[in-house]
Amino acid sequence: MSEKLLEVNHYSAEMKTDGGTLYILQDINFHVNEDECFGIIGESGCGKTMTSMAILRYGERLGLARSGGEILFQGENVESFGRKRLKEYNGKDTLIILQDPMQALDPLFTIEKQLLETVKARGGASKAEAREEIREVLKKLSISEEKLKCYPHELSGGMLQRIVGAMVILHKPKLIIADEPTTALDVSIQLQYLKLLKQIQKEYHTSIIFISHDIKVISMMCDRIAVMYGGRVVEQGTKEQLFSSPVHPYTRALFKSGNMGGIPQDRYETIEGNPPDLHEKSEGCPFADRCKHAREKCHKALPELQEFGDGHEALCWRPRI
Amino acid sequence: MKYIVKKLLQAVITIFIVSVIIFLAVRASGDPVNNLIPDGATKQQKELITEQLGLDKPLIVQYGIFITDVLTGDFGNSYTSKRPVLEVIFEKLPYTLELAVVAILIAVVLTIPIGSLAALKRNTWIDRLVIGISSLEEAVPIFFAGIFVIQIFGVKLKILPVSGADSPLGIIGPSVLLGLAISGSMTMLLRNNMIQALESEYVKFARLRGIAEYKVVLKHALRNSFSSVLSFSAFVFANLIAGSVVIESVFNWPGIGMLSYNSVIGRDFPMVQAVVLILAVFMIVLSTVIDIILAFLDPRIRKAE
Repeated sequence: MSEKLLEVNHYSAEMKTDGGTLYILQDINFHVNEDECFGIIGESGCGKTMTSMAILRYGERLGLARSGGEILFQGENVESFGRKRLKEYNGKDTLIILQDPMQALDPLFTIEKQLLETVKARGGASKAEAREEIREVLKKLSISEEKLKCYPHELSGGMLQRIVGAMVILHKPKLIIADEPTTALDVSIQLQYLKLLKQIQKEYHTSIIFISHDIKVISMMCDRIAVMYGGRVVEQGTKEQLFSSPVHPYTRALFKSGNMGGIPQDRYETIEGNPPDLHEKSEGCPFADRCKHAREKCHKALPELQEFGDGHEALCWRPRI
Repeated sequence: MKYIVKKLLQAVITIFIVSVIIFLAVRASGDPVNNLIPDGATKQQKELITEQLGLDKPLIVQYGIFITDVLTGDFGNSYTSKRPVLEVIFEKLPYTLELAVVAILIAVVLTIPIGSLAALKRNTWIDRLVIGISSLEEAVPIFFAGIFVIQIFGVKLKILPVSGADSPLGIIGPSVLLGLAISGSMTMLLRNNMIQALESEYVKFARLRGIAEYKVVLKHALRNSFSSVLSFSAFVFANLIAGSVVIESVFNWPGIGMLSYNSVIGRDFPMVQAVVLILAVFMIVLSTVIDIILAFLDPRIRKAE
């Protein structure tokens, strides 16, 4: 059994807004092992991105305040990090790949300057060494050196996301958080980029948290998967467990809508209704209002977590077994 | 380089069009001869003066004479003082330029730290204080504040001269007041742009790459918000050169504002033409220079052109 790199233990967080408190994350519980790709899937607004922001300690900048639980990185509580340790944590231990590479790079600086800046933030290299390192990484990713003199607006989204990939390699992080890294890319280059990420993971023994709403991409990339709904993890397990026997009605609906998961069907299905309003702390199951199988109990009380095999668990009163 | 040549060519064409408009507008404003002849002058005297000034010729011929003279550097003599207008203008212009440059420098020096601080401390009491003071700076009429300053520092405390440009300290009163008035809106502009930059994905990504906060703020957020401040400075500068009549009259500052006001009232055609044309050229040159600087700062503009 490999070591746990990251543990999110019963983590809850809220955000105060003019319209009242938003219960963004509730009792989030999962861990990421070393050398594994962990997937988080769910609709927009379910808390996927906020979870990653909390992990990276960026949540507080967005007004997200912890209300319970803890996040441990290699056994260290990330909230205990002082300024220096946090810089190291962001600059060395972790790196995020954002959804839109066009916006992630500063328009006023050349690619070279931004790569150099990344190496400098990581530390441990002189300017000449950094240049040499950058050249090697570009060669590895078969990006021509001419791109170094370009500004972000002169390059395509796919190329920019590969530049971000180069940053990942330069960074050598222990944990990559890939937040929908291919959503903004052309379908034709999505696959290529996913392969690149896999290659980086293998070669550098990095862990990845892969966030997506696309089941196909998640199934391709991830070893274990958490399904999020309404700020909660409603089901998690290995890829095999989830795809062969999803138990939560939401997971099943999600797989059906994406035409996945070995459930025979002749057409795509949609999930009726809207995601829950995060202004209210629901008494019952967050999915109850949209669930075909919901009974009175589902609306009244929050389900208890049930185990369905090694590490396969779901938050449901009426699991489909 | 091609970009610069193109910009300069555009500038030349604009200056030509402006010269035509000024020429026609001045002549549409009324007959100057009435201001020059003594009361009860005969019709013949009036015709004589009109002929002397060349105002009896067809407009197109008048324009031809005007533009050839201008191209050889001759803007003519003032109708009223009879002195060459260029001489008068270049006597006054440095005062106005000095005032404008010092005022804008004061505004920029105040704006960069204060605007950035307000953006970084958004929605705290610091931010609210900055917003309050900035609105005040914008709202107080400058002639009122000017009289106030003269009363306190000039008349009561006797630290600053009451008016005029004779003492080197004379610049302090008008330039600080103008600088404060400008920094009000400039600070708000920088604050708002900086907030946008601080919320951008590239700032988020820079922070999440572990780049030091001071670098994120100075290199990424400030630089991306700065071009708006620069454009605004140019706009304000242009306005100050052309229209600082109020502050110049309050502080009895011998600049171009007073000169243009007096020559319009006196229908001093050569003076008005020269003042407006020189200011127009000045502004076109200024905006061209600013465009080039902006393109230098922002690679996207270079590409778009």
